[in-house]
Amino acid sequence: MTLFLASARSRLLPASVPFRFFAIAAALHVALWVALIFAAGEFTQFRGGVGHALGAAHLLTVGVLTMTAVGAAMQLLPVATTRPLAAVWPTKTVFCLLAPGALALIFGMFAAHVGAMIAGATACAAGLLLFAGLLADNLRRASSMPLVRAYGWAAFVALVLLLALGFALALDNSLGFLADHAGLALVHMILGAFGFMGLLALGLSHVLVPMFALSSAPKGRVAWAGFALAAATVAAAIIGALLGLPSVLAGACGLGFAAALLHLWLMRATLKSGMRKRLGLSFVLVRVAWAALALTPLFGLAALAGWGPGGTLFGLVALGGWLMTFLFAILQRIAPFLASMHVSRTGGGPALLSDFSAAAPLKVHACCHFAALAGLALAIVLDNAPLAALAACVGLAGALAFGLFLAGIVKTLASGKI
Amino acid sequence: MMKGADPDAPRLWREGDRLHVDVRGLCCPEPLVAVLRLIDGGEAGDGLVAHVSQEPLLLYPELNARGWRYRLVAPRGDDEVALEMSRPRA
Repeated sequence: MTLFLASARSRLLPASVPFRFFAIAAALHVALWVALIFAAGEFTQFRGGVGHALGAAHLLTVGVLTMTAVGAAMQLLPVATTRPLAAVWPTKTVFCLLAPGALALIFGMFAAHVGAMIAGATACAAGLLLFAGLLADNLRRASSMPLVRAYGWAAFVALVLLLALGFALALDNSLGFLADHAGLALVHMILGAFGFMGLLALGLSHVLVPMFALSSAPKGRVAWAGFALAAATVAAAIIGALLGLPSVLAGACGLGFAAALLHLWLMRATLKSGMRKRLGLSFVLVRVAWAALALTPLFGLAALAGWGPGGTLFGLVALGGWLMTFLFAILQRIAPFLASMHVSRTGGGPALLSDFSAAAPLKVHACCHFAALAGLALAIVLDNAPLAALAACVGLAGALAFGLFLAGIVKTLASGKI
Repeated sequence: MMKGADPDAPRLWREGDRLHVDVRGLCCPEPLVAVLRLIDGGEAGDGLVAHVSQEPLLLYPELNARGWRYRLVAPRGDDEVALEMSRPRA
């Protein structure tokens, strides 16, 4: 029972800040699967270009992944670095720019409306630049956790480049000033999936996985080698895409495979030495996400070798299998944790994490999520649009279940009592 | 567990019948893990005082789940607060 809490130096944001990001991510997660139902025909052969499939891809990357990562990072980073954010209002401003910006950008892609795309990209870039500033300020003031800070700085650089390139690509749809739009779109994808989101996910894993498993964080030369390999992978992939050199891209895939294996080895050692052995459903998702992480460079190599569905599968495994699975695994752990800090029991005493565990919706989400990803992968291999639409329907059921889980937490938070 | 042998190890000492642990300066989530090792391993007995750099937010849900009572003692300096924890009487 809490007798006295001096929270003057607390690094906890008001619950409404991270949860507004999580709520819109959950809503756009539902929209993603609906969009995929209607874009199934394009999706199985998607290689880029404005249209429904590109809109669906950005529903996932900007709407679901970025929104979740920004909301989680703004709360978790100050806790991890023990340095509070400079102020709360910039976090709300990030949301006010990013949420409508994402909606406009995605609408513009679906409707092939260049004006909406440029306006959305502008607002998203402004919001994410402000987030990048908050991230940089927190990392600059942190004195501990050099490895996590290194991942954070690398993700920061990737985010700034990602935004500049994303804005240029949106403008290019109107002005046509880029010599190689497709090549730069690939660089944009690499910066987003592996630079910003990937490095942020790998870095925060060095805090979150030990925190959940009650274990020491990976450290020493092997952990630094993991960072060096991951950063080198992103750098090599960008150079390969910029110069249009398949051999360099293949080298990046090789580096990426080594980085993934080393990360998995570090995480396995972390779990093995942890005091908590039963990690629940969320770590089933984490393990599947890790498998997808290791498979991603192999699909990249397959695409480079000329295997038809390789490129689309590479995107699905990286964005859906690795990043989306990992983020939803983490979100289902941290949402109850954050909520428990803001709610008390009606009969007195603090709320317990178990008070927020809605097992049924999370089980439905996990089953549907895995089935949908497997269905989409098969649909890509067979180039079968009806199968992709069916898989998207299953994914939609999972997204609704996850939305139900999050809505339950938000409802409890709103009442302040459980 | 004394500092010196391992720079990442927390410093332990006793004041009266109460075990104290200094986890200041350890990287996240080491303070959380060090305190829970003492509690779950039985070394803490019925009570423990943790000296931490800042309010240990990550620790609260774990203590709540174990039914431990806790209170944050007023800051002793710019870089220290103490968390008094006690096992509830059966």
